Amino acid sequence: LLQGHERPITTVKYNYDGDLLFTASKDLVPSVWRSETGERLGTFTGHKGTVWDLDCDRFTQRLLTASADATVKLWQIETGTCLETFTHRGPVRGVAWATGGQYFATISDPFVEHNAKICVYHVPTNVEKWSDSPKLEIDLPKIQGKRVNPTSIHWTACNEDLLVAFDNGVVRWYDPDTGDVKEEIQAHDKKINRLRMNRQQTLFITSSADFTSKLFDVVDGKHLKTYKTDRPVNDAVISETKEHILLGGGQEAMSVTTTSGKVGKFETRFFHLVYEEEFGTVKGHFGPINACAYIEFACYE
Amino acid sequence: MYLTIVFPQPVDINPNGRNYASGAEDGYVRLHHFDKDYLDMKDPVPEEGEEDEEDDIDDEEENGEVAAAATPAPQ
Repeated sequence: LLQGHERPITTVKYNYDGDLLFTASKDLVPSVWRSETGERLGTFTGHKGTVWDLDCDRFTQRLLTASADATVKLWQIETGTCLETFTHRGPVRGVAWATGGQYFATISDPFVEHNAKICVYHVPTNVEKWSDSPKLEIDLPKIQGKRVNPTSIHWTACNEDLLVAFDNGVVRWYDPDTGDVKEEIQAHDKKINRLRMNRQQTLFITSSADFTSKLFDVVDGKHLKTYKTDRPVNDAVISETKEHILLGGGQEAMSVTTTSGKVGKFETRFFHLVYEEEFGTVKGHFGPINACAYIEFACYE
Repeated sequence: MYLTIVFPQPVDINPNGRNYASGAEDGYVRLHHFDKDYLDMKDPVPEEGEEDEEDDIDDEEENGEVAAAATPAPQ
């Protein structure tokens, strides 16, 4: 274990089969681990900025990584080789495979005079070389002079819509062919940090800076449940096997001057999906004391 | 001067439900394996006045050492 490197983990995602875990962090090198043992299988080297998001396709063949270096990279998972780099105008916040693995969508932040954007790319598996220009580009202009940044993107069932969460608390459904907004809801008053769907693509859960996480119906956008905490929620995930919700985050607002030495606190909270009731908390700390508890491993180069 | 620093602190649960992973700002990823108690747990229908219910979700390794304290629901 290497300690003392403060390179926050930005995302953790299992593949479809659950045997692998993909992680991205600010150390520029996403990694893949065996989920049963914690053994690191490989890394994906090439980005020059924080990797904010990644997505693995259905059959664990191709990986997409979205980075603050304004690129998305497409990787062959088995070999770790970069197949293509897709240059964007600003830092890329999110990336998502379409069902079928022939298309993917990205969201990028505004940069200098460029607005934030949603892009759709076509990367068919039957060709060797792909166009690095998007098939569709949706421009996200300022609203009343204020920049609106997308924070999370997903495809709905049968690639019918693009589901995008924003830092003003809005969730929108876009048509992936025309780029038109089909539906919009004000899900939260504050920033939505992340949005995730269940595997059946029937529900999605938002995690917000307003200390709550909310469950919605993907099809009609109906608000179903609210999970309340006393801290900003940074990530939330719906269990596939139990009616449980896991919330990640809970970092307290901190003074910049007192951050050193006290970072490292994190916790995961467990909620019941239906009853909205919190029934457990797992706290994590530094040090070898916990080494017996978890398979703990570090993300370093 | 005070600033709010928000770290990503991502979580994901294995689709097979047997483990979950959480990432922290210290650069560590923690892989938590659920123990048998959690996997066998039936979700009780909450009733009023039933506050001291214990739904343990302790993490443990193969040797069964209990790691994280599960707290009962606050309200």
